[in-house]
Amino acid sequence: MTVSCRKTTVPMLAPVLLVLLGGCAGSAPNIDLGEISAELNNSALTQAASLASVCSGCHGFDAKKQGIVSLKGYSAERLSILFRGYKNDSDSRTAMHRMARGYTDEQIEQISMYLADR
Amino acid sequence: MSEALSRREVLKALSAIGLVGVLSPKVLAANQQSKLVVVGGGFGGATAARFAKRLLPTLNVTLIEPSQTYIACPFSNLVIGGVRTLNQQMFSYDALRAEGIRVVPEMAVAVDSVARRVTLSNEAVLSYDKLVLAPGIDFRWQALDGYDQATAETMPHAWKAGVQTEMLKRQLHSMQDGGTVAISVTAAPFRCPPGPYERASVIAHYLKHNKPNARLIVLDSNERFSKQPLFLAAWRKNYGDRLEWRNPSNDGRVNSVDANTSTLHTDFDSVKADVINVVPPQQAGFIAQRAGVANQSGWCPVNALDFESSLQPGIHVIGDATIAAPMPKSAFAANAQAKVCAIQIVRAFAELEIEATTLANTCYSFITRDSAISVSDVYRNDGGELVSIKGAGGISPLDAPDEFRAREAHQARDWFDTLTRETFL
Repeated sequence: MTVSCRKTTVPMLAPVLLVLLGGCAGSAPNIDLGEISAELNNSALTQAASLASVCSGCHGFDAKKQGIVSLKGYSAERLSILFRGYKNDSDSRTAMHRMARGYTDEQIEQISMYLADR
Repeated sequence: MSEALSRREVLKALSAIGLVGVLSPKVLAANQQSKLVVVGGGFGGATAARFAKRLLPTLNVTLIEPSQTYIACPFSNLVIGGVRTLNQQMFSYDALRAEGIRVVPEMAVAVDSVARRVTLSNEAVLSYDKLVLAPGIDFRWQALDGYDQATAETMPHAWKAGVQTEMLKRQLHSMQDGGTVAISVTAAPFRCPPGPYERASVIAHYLKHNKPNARLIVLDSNERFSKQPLFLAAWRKNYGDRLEWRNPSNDGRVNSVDANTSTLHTDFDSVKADVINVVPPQQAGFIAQRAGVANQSGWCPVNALDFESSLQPGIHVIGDATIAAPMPKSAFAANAQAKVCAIQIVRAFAELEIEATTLANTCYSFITRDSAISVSDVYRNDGGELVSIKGAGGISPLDAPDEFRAREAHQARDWFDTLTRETFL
């Protein structure tokens, strides 16, 4: 399986860049932080973001869960392997198994890359 | 970073790593003052306001919600059963305010969709570029003969969580052992399709352990219901003769209610009970009717690509008020629709095309205090109509062992925590 490095690093870089921009905003008055952060958030307007928006209804990004796994800190590759594992395990019938069968492999890739390393 | 770095250079750098590239600075500048008004602060409205603001921080977002505290319906059946407190169902709007959303504690009473203005109960008028209505449900008083607002003061519906939930709990808990509880269920569609049957389960569980000689009868206007085989099996196994369910074929449809004699009337029978819970006929919340987004059914047809009203352009409707079947009227569905709606609204502000996406729903229902069942479905968008994807979704296995049901109860609690955190906290 191949996973694009470029895309998986996006969510990690975003907050870092925001901090950097915030740090230099005072000394560079021609940078409008609000405007730029709006543009930053455009990665959240993509098809992948729409698809993945459903996931966060059940899956949080913090640890210590009893029933539903947190998605914190997974690589795109790992997420994709797990997701496809649910999809292709025809003997099991947890809520996630039943849901996973509704997504194409391409959608699973998109979602996994979007959610990676949160 | 150097001081000489210009905004253009920053954007260019961000474009290079794939962060930017779709929005021109011109479009953003034009939308600096854009206004989004959201009516209704439940799972749909609060989520829509929050996500739109996060997606476009320069957007002016106002949430109109008369209550200072939101009381969540999911898990409120457990309050009736005495295994959870109403406080655990309560959420404030402080976190939304802290994110820059203006929360206005008024009722929206009128919408002018041509001038794009909303009038509030304090006569204030708000203009909008985009309007999201997430009004939930209202009851159709007297649509069930004898059941109105006054009757509901003694025969609770408990179908909006709060004092009604406490009332039903109090009546149940003060009933004598040997008494009868009756639940009347209106014909679909109504908020939370499996809700009446989870309630029956939780009440039967309470009776079994606290009032072993009492019984529960469910008088249902529906021949079939959500997760039916799972509920019926759980009832047989856990509650036996204590719980009786009657569908219309078995004279289960309630035609009228008599509060004075505490009686429910069906075609051929009269059921007198000590505690009566009526799940009444429903329609989209008040403002949907006023805004002209509801059709003759009382519910709101939408284009499920972006949840824009089919009747009023520029107004989006999400959550229980919509006609989004096969997607149910559930908190999870409202939250999911809100996120897609927010993304598409911000795309529209940015002059980007609407994109079809895949939606999903998951709902858990408790069958005892520590075991649960679930239903999930995935929906593709067929030109604005949602269609359940064949081969996906469905209910928990019928033959699952007790540990599976216990695990789903844990999942249900995580589901509630995650969904409420994403919406309110």
